[in-house]
Amino acid sequence: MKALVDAALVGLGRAGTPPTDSDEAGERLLARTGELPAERALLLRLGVRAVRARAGVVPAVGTERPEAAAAETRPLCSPSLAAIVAELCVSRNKAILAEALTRMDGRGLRLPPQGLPALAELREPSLLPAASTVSGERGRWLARHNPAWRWLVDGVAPTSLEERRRIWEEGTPDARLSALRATRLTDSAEARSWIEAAWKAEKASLREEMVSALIDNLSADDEPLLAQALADRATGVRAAASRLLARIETSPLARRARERADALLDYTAPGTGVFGALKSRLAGKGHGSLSVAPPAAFAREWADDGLVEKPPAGTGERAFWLRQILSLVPPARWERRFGATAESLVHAASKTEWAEPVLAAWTDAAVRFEARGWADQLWTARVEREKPESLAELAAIIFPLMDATVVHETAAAIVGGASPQAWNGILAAVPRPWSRTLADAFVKALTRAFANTQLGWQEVSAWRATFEIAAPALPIAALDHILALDPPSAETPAAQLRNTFDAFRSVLAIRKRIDQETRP
Amino acid sequence: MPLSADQIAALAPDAKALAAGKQSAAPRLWDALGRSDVAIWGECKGSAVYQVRVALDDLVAKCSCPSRKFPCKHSLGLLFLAAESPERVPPATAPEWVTEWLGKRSESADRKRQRAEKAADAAPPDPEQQAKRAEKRLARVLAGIEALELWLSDLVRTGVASVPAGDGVWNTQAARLVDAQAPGLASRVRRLGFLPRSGSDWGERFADGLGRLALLIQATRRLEALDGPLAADVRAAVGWTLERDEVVAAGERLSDEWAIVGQLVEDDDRFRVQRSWLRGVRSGRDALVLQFAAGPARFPETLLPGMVLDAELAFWPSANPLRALVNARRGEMKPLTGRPNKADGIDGLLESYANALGRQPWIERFPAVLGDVVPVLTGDAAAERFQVIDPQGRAVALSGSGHWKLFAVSGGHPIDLFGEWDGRSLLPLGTLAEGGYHALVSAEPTA
Repeated sequence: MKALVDAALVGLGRAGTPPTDSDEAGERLLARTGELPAERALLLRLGVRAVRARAGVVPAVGTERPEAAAAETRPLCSPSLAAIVAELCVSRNKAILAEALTRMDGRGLRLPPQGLPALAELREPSLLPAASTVSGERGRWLARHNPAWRWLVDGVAPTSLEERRRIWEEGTPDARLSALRATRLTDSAEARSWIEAAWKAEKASLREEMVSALIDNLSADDEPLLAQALADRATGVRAAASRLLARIETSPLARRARERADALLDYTAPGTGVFGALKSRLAGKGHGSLSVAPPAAFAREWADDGLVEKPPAGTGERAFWLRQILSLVPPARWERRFGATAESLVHAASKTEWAEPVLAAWTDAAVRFEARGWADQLWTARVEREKPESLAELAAIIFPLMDATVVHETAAAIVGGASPQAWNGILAAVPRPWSRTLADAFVKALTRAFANTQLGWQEVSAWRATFEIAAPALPIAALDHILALDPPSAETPAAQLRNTFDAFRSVLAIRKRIDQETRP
Repeated sequence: MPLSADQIAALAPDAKALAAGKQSAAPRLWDALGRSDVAIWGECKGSAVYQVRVALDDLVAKCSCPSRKFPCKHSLGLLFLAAESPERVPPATAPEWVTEWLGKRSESADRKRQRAEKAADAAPPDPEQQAKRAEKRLARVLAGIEALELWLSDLVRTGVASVPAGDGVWNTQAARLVDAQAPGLASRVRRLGFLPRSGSDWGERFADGLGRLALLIQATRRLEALDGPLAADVRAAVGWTLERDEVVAAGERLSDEWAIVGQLVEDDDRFRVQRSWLRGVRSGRDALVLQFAAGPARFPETLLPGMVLDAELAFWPSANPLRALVNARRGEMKPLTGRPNKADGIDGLLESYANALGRQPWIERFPAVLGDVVPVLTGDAAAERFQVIDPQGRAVALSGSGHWKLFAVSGGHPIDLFGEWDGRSLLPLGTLAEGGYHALVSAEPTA
């Protein structure tokens, strides 16, 4: 059989004797054509063979069938909601996709199976846990068959401790970490014991993640484990341990940090009594005064606690050391030590010649120790001192600590007074959804810009970014109003924004449909 | 009109029109929306106000915009809007610009029918001259195949392996066959030319194609001795074409509810080819509707996968009739909700295929409707090889890639699968699971 093919490939001239076929019926058929040259006979034999091979295909014997997916417990979402999600998976608009999935999850719905591959293929853990729950049993089943889709199940820890313990022992690294973090929230000692038992066997990257997982419910009980981690061979593990130890007040590390910092700051309360208060106020010291003594030299042993001696270019050594030292102490320490409020201390610090490093250090410390009471004060102080343009970075780290209402009000004030170039960085950090106040400020600014005959090209291009930030953030209640706005007229400079504005409105229209499809 | 987003997407001439169509579905752009039993319509505010109307029976659209794409973005937008928010397109009395258009459409359909009837009745213009032309063409084809056979003989004498792939000689031979008025043979030769050293089993595939070409040459030579239907198959394979009227006049005609079970669009540089597989819900007959469109033009007949069309098909004369055209359609398409007529096991498919080859050995693609098969991932996920297993434990491999959607839809449960069988593996085109149809080859056209 194979001889026919080989003869055609190497050539009859070389193959020698022309082969015939072992198929009798085929040979009988060929005989009816009469005597043929060897080449034509070979060609026709190949033809008979080809048709016969196709007609005689034998099916394979099936391998084992997969175990079928379990029955679903959630009802399907509407076809239009499924179509919206499919569209968002293609356009990779993660913010809106997250909104759609969360809303769907909130209503206890699930995606139809045909929509799952596109969602799973995004591999976007930020969409968890909604992405996992709306995928239903079919999603879990698919994740078992495609390793790239494991994130759908690994990123979400099961509720039972038994199940989590099993995953901790047998799961993939991601699944183990989610199980560990979930357990740390409910049974912190149990989670610690898992880490202690596994410590020696694990890779450095996992050891670092395990140490970092201790951040929830951190207590003095974790000190021995962290002390062990502080002596680890890997820098990442040591740094993580040092960050956590600084947060445990009783740890030697925290004690050393406090001693270092205490030497740098002193505070005098404002004068008391009518006369004293007036005197302080006149001297610009209505909130008392802070004296700052930055370190004159870098002590060797500071390096062991993770401090860095050499400042980056453009920063003075003393300011650099000052900032590092102060940032390792919980801001609440100063309230206790000086018997003053955060407001007074921040005000007093703004008046000193070291205002910049001290406020920066306190900001670092407020973020590190989640000092919510300090966040509002530090933000207000920095807004007074600096232009909105330079506050984007600060907004990103400090807004999460602030009360959302306060953030929305301060953002509304900035949108009311500054230009889009200035507010984009800040708006991007504002928690979603925006308040009605902020949405109104946005609409006002938008109407103003559309009507502005002097609108510059920088503003036009900054507005494009503003639209992108606002589209997923505007509250549902404000959508109808904005969807009804007229596009900029063709005679204004804002006419350049027409396409962007259209795209912006289509995103809002999608959000509105998501809302309609997930109303109870 | 229960169209899904996927099905509307299948109507779009290209990806750009599709994206623009979705944008045009925003309700704020629309005014004077309405529907009747036969059409939907509305006015769309674009750069101007455009009057958009879509006939519900064949989904042909007409818009007053100057776009040369059919359907244009406004027409697609109207379809998307009607699918997403049907309440916005309420029953209404059709305005004049809609009734007028519908009137013109039925007039032109009447004219077409009259023309066709006349053409069928009328005697051929000059039978003598026609016979002479046919004789002349046959002579050229026969001369062409003599030359081709000589060249193929040389090829197997010196060895196929000595000719490089993609070599100019293949194109030269193909061009000669085009000159000899045998374009079907020409494209077979061109396809053969791509095979040398194109994968580990190229020798087998090459021998297969070469052998079937040799059989076709032999059959052409004996054309007069063949039965009428088989002779028609050979003529079609060599490159004789039939006009629409000729198919309607000569071919078998069959009215049925035709389920459109699978569809595939292949993009060439110059034109797009669409293959739609139909199965008669009452008759269980299979049909293949081939359509061609140049660039962004629409395919003449609107066929949406997953829908059922009440129509009369006319089949090309053949020993194993498959290729057909839609001769007359009745009413709107309806969604396919259950198995169309019957489904095969894998043994049944292979047997039907063998029988069909016995009648017509040059069949390229064969329709497969497999019932209760389970898609299985074989090997590891990286290689992504899939097969389907039937209830008897028989299995066939799936060709192509991206079968995860099929896998997800089945979830390890048995499903019905529609596809194309090429003699080696199955290309999945659609599936019925839990009563719903899912197109498996992406319905979105490529840009």
